[in-house]
Amino acid sequence: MKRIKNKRGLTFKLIIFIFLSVAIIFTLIFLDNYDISKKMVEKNLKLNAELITKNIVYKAEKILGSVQEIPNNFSKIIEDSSYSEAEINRILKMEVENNSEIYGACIAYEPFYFNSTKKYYAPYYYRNKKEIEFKCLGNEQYDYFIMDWYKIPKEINRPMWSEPYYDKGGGNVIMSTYSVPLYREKNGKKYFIGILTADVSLDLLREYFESIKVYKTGYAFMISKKGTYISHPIKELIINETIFSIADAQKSSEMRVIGRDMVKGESSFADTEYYNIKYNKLSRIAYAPVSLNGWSVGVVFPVDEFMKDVNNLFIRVMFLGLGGLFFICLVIIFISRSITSPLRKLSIAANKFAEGDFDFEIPPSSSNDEVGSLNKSFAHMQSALKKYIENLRLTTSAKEKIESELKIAREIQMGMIPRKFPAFPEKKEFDIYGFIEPAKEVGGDLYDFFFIDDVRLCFAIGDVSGKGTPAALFMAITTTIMRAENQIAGLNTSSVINLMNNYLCKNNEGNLFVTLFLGILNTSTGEVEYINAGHNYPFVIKSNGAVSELNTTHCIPLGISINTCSNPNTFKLEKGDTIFLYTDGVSEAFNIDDQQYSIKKISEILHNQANHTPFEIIQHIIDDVKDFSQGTEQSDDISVLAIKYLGKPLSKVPTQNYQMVIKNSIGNLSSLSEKITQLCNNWEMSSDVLNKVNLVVEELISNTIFYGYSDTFEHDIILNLMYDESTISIEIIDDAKEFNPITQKSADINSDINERQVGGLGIHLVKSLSDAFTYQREDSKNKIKIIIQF
Amino acid sequence: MMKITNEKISELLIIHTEGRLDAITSVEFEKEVMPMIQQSEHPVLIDFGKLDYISSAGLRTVLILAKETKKSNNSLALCSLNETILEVFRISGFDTIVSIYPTIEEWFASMK
Repeated sequence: MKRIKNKRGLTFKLIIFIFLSVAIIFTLIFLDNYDISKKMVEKNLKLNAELITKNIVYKAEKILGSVQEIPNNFSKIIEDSSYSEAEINRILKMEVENNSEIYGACIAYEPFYFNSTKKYYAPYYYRNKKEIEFKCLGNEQYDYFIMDWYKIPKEINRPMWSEPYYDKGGGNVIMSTYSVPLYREKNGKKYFIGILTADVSLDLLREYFESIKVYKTGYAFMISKKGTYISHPIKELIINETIFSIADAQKSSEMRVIGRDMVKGESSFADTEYYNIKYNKLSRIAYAPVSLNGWSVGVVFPVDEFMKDVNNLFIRVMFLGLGGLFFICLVIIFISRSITSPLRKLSIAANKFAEGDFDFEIPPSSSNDEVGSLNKSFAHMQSALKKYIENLRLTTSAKEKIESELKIAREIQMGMIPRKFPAFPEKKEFDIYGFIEPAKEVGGDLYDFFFIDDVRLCFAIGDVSGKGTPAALFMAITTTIMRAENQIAGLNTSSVINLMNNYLCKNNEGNLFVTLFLGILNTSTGEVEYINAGHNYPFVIKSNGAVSELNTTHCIPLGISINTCSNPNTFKLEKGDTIFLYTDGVSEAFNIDDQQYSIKKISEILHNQANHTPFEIIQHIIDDVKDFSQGTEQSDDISVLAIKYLGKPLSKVPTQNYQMVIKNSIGNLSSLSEKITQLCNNWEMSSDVLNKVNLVVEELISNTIFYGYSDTFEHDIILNLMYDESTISIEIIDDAKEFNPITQKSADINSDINERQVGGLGIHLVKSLSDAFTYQREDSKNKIKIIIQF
Repeated sequence: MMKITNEKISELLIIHTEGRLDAITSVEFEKEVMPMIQQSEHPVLIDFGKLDYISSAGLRTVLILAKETKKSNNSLALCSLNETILEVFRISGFDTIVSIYPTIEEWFASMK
């Protein structure tokens, strides 16, 4: 319901509210005006009714008066006692003859007035058709002395009009008898002698009443003292009915009251309403008595007719009002249309904007009103939005481009770091695992590991100052040169670091630096040589669970100044030991309460990790750090690297043989030692074993070359090297003269410097360094076999 | 395969060696070092810090040089021997005929 209401337009609301208000105001004014008009009309009606009624009464009295005049004058003549009976009769006849209104006249004398024998004497002249006829009234049957027309005037000493009646002889003429008492003077005393009557036609009165027009259907009527209708537009009522009989017939109490008041001789002017008889219309009635004879005149004013002007005015005003309201409606519709139509267009435009169509043209508005200014604001908004969206689009695409480039950069950077595990599935001597997670797309952390020869694994972890792209670039340089410098054979970690530092210092426009821990693990012995350039101390987890830090720093971080790192340190990873390296992104990870993860915590976790693989250890640490820093943004790059030394796999190395043939020239010894070095490195022998092998071979072969041949021919000396999991055996076969080194007198190793001889020292050294030493002379060849264990 | 340099610190001669001292290089080594020792009137130190390897031929040269200094009432010492070389010296009893110092600094200290 409410929703529907809200959906309705401005036009509807304006119309409803304005129209209703105006209609209410108009109706109130109209009703008040109608009331006042009605009252004014009523007041006028009353004045009018009084005037009209009184005028009618006056006219009726005048008519009646003129009719009365004749018998009145005649009575004066008769009262003059000088006229005789005959003369009086003649005058009486003349009166009827000369006055058309008079239908008959009679003088009814007191008993025995002219003749003492004649009780009844009443000469009566009357019209019968055109003729005047005579009749003498009064006898035993018709005792006129007791008749009203005789008795009442006599009693009241005044003339009297009788109740009207129809004349039966002279056609349908309403008649009334006027009775005048007659007196004569005798001896100065006036006494009653009889009654003069005149039967008078009330035609004049009738005609007059018929001529009266009150508005359109209004009329006047007259009733007698008994209420009998004397005059009425409905002819049938006259004489035949009284106002009371009609009131009874119509069951109109109002009419009865009116009739009573009229008969009583009271007057009222349009105070009373009733339904008139003729048209049964609601009417006002005015009435007043005729003073001559007590009859009463009533005038009927139909309400609709006297109210006609007011009603007409009412209808006119109503139509004007309705017209006005209709006009107001039109005006409202026009105004609201002129407001809402641009608003509607703006609304359509706004919807188009919402759909992203910023080129939708806003309909132009020429008006300067609020709607016009809204239109202008809207147009401004459109252009501003368009510009803003365009800018946003450009920045967004630029940002996207940077982001996608960063993504590629990240892939490249991640590609520089070995992240494929197991990294060396064929190497059983150690297990390695690394983890890196830059705080941003790219980061300045690095770890790396690679073999610089068959047995030595170079590994490193580092942290470039700062984060993001600059750090990432510096990291890339560091990784690259670290790999490059490590490829130079024979360099120890200290030299590599120094070379790297020189390079980084020279080409460091951004003043970045990198902390680096660089180590080389001899995978066959577990020996580790390392340099720490300002990096966090790595942990070593011994196989028994003991955890210690490699707390030596050899130089300041790289890239700051050209300086020299001190000699590398070495330590040995025993079977089951793990070295754990990390960057400060781990130890300095923050939690929500701004606390650091701390090195202590790392060490605590590492304490029970001795039996775990590098992968498990790192997983454990990373999970713990992530739990710790949950709810915070990663603040720094995180890198971890762990290497577990598993020792030389037993019985897995197959026996390997190597044979060399050397010519008997001392100059060949240097190339021989190079070959042996290379071979031993391939077999991942320690430098100690390598030196022993070299020493044994050199001593024995140089002996043969120097002392074995008496000729100058070229001879072949055969060297067989055999290598298995724990020993290396050296076999030398030559065709020199027989020489058993075992039976040689032992060398002088105790005498003073002045007496000391060097002979036999070589054989002594060989004997001392070998674990087994045998000699055979076979096929004219010396065969020496030596075994060295490691 | 042999690199020899020398320096004089307050009249004391220090000879730095690098590489291998074997049957081939010891000949060359003797030729080069002998004159330095003969010319020096003050104690001589041979720094074996960067020497990777020595064989009996090398030991022979050391003995020759030691004898030469002894002849001229001078003294010869060695320093910074790596594990293997030290073992060779011990086995051959050479540690009793030449003084061996762990570092140059310790030799200097003994001079005072």
